[in-house]
Amino acid sequence: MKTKIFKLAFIILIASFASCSETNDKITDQKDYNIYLELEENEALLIARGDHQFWEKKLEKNPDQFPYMMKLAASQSQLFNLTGNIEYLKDAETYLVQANEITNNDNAGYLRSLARNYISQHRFSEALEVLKKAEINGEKLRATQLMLFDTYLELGNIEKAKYYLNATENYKEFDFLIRKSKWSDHHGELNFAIDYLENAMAIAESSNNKQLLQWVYTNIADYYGHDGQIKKSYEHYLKALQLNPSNSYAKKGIAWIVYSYEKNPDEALRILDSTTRRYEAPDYYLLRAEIAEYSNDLKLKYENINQFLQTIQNESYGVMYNAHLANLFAEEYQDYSKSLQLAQLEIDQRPTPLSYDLLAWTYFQKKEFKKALAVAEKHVLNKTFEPIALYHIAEIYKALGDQDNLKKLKPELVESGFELGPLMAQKIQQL
Amino acid sequence: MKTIKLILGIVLIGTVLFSCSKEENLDEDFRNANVAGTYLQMDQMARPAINTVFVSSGSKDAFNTTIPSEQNAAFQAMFQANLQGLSPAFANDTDANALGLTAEAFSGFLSTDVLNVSTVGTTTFFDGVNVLTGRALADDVITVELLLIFGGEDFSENPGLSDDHVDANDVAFLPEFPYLAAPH
Amino acid sequence: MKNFKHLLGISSLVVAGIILLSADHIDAPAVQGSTSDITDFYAFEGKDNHNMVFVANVQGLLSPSATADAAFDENVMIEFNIDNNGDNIEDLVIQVIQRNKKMYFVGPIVPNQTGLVSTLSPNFSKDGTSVKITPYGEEPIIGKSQNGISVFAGPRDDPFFFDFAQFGKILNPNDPATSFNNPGTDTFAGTNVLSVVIEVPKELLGNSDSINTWVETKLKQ
Repeated sequence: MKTKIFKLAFIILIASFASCSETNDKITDQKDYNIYLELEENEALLIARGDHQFWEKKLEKNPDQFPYMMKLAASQSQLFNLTGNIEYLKDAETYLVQANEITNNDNAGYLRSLARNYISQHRFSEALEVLKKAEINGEKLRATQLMLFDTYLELGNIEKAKYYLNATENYKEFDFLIRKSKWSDHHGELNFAIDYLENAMAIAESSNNKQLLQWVYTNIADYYGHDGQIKKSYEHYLKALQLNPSNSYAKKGIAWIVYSYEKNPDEALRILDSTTRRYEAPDYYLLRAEIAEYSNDLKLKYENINQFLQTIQNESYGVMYNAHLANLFAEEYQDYSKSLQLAQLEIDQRPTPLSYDLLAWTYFQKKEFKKALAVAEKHVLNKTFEPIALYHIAEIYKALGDQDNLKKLKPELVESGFELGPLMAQKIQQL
Repeated sequence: MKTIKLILGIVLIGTVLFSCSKEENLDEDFRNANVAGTYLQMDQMARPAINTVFVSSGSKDAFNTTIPSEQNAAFQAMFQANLQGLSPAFANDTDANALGLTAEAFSGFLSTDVLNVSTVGTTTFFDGVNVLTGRALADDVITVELLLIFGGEDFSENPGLSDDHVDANDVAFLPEFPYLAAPH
Repeated sequence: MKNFKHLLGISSLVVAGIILLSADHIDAPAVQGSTSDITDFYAFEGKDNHNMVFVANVQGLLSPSATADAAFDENVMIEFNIDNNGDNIEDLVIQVIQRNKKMYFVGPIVPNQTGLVSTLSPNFSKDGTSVKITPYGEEPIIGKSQNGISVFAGPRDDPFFFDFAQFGKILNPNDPATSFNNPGTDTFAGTNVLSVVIEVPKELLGNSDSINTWVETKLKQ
């Protein structure tokens, strides 16, 4: 009898939690972030522009001074980070390639800068080729090894990634800790990922390096969000904004909290609109499209999807948005042959579990459920723990009537509601 | 008179207190700054550009973390090979530079990367009279190094390589502390 | 209505999935270490010839725009090493580290241990001098100690001059360049560095006629 009462109490408790999550407490406050949205001047951008102008002039006057090419490229990369304008990244590539030619591919630092540019463009195979040269050169080998870890992980070569992670092990050091954190997250160990990133944050704080701090605050804010610690997540996005009032990634993070947790699409769109006045990455259109859909504003949704499609017509984006495109072709336009082609291209370029997930999901859309399952079981299941991939597998199980396996996945998916957003949370409930 | 004494006294006490508390503050300041701890070597240098020229890429990390007293044993051979590979002025074993140092002797000297500094005379990399007795801001250290590497016994060899023709800083240095010119 | 709902459902999956893909991808920041790269080292007699001056520079090739924002890494100690008995092992060190816009100088002191590992212990009133970091565009702020030490930290013109690029081309076997240009180009003209300058009475360096000296950067563990 007693246990029954306990059980009942427990159920009530759970139920009240569940109802809590339906009408979440308000965490955000316009007073906290409005100052960052109404900014007239973007100080970081002014500095970057001045830096860019300086090196451009120096190089123009002395075209043989290849160190200026590196400085110019660095300022262009910074301008890309601040504005999202892809042309800066492409221009930087041109100078980096040139400087590496002049130094006969024998300057490890220059090679690493070029590899970093390729990574930003999602050209991971090319980044790898360049990093291999830097590894043979040997100068600052550890820095090269850290980047080899990044690249192999993106390429889906887990064995090699693990090798380089081990080669650089130092639990007192920022660069290692953030990678160990990423590795843990990759293996579905979010608690460890948070621990390691908190240690890295402590180091960045004691170093008082603004760039590092912004990076670590926004990334840990993401993790806190995935872990359901929404308030902490919000606070850390704000910390990043305190350091750089124009940090658009942090604004996007806050917009997501307002939308996904507080279910306030209008305010989320207001935040995004003010952000994109300064920052023009194509994925913001898709985020807007999703929020518009949640508000049942289909006109706004398709406006944004069309904007996205139009923007990425620019060849400079290269392969950066292929995965997004594959999804759009399959789901929005039922153009499966294009979608399959793009998914296969992604797999060729980087055979990661998420690339295979794209393929499996395309098969699912085509209603080829068995094919979808074969791909998912071989390449996705237990290889990635990204909620989006788990959700796709769950849908495949459901389509095939595999209730046992579906049940195993569902609880975790329900927990990922914040990360996946309210539209998908509804679909998860229907699983 | 009394008041003056009193005022003086107060001023005196004030000064003592002030300096005392200043000292204490400094110490506390420093403790609070949380700087105590263990620090591990990342980089080191003494003579300009030596590492760039004589240490092969793959050995740079090791060179930067080898203490100077052990650098000669570990790196002299590499310095000599790179010196002879680089400079025609050391093509023969008997070749020497203007200091009378052969490739072996010169690389032996360079591979211990410290700056030798006189505490009793002129401090300069080279001023025509004094050689390697320090490094002052205006010293044309690169040209001196190029001359010692490429210039042969009397600075006359390989003239195209033994001077970069950048002879002075772009702005004037200050005559007194902190000596370096204001930033641009 | 049902159809519409279905449609809505499917497309919602699309977009949400896409967002996640991008949110997941935020590149790691550039590998650290550049803040500990020493660009230059100087040691010379001061204006007062009883004194010796040591200069260490870090973070070279700063444009004027980038200078105001450049900062010393608070986890990196700059250490001047002084050998006064000719064995190339440091007998004295001057340890320099920044905290909260202030630079702390400790020494010259006899180090607890020599070599690649250093400890910094907070016995500051006895051995230390501190100075506010001079902000970009302001007159140099100079710290002085009772025993005659002067200290400075902050951005300065890079005192180095060298046609670095031409030298690089000469070293590259694939480049046709075989000699310097006349006149050469000063790669470092018009650019700034972060400097640490300390002037010390020679008597604090021991009583030998010459010293061997070098500078190191060390990362807090």
